[in-house]
Amino acid sequence: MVVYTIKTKIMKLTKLFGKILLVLVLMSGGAGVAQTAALKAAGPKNRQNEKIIRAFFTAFEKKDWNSLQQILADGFTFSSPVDDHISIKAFKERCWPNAYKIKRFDVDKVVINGDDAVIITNGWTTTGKLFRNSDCFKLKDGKIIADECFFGPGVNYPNNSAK
Amino acid sequence: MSGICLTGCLIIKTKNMKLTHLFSGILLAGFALLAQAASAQTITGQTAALENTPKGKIVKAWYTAWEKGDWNLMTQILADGFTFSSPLDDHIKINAVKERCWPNAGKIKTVDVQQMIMNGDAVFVIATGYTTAGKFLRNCDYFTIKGGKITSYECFFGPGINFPNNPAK
Repeated sequence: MVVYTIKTKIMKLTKLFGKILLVLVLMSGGAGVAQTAALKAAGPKNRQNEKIIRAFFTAFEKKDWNSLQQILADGFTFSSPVDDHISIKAFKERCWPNAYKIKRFDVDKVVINGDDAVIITNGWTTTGKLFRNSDCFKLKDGKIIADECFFGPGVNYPNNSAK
Repeated sequence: MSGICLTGCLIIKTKNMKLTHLFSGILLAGFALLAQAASAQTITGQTAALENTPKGKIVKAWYTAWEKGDWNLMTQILADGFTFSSPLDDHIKINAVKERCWPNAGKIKTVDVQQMIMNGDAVFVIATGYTTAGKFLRNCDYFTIKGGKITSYECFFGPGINFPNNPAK
């Protein structure tokens, strides 16, 4: 919060212009500093959140439910075209078996704004099939509170019986 | 508005100055522009703010073009060499988009941007819409934008019918 006060009584125009310029310059400086500070503050959080969402895919690759569980918040929900906000329990039952048919994930694109993140991954099944999806994550206090998976080309997910 | 808000206050105390209102107007306008520029570049996760950035406006125009069936508007925001991808389209060109996809425009009643998230050339949007027959769509769209135009678009399918003319749904 920056407060500038200009008191004018019988001020000559040149003086006023000088003040205007000064105020504008000060404001530019203030905005710049605040912006830099904001970006600095957002940077570490973005990096931390990126680590967390990458860990989500690593856990699938390594079949490591323990690691996955540690980054899922209480109340986590998973959605996809075939799952409507299912709970962790249902996620484990329905989706985790897919982990055993996943060879690896290649991260293609990540964009993070604080607690919102989108990641495009090219997943490969153990039989060499491609599934390219985008996952929209919401994070809360350093954990994933929601994942919504959107299907791209390929088999969508390893155990897809339709493909 | 949550997230990071860059706020400045400007107080101008004046006495007996006719021009003061004008100048304070100029100052306020200057301040407003600065504040807007600063917040546009600040990472907030605020879709509403992002929609007003240059890239946000281009993306909004994309949806407006579909909603209104305005191919003229569409061609204005697409870069030369633009490609369109979806689970059913592998980097097709503008001509193919017009032939294959554009007929869908006439069956789209509304499209709303639910979430926007961007960094550099990349813009992601979760958009929901309804067809003229009342069917629901919810997709995640990935745009790349360079030089003020959309260079590529990739659609990821969510729940719903994916696109209006989908014969499978």
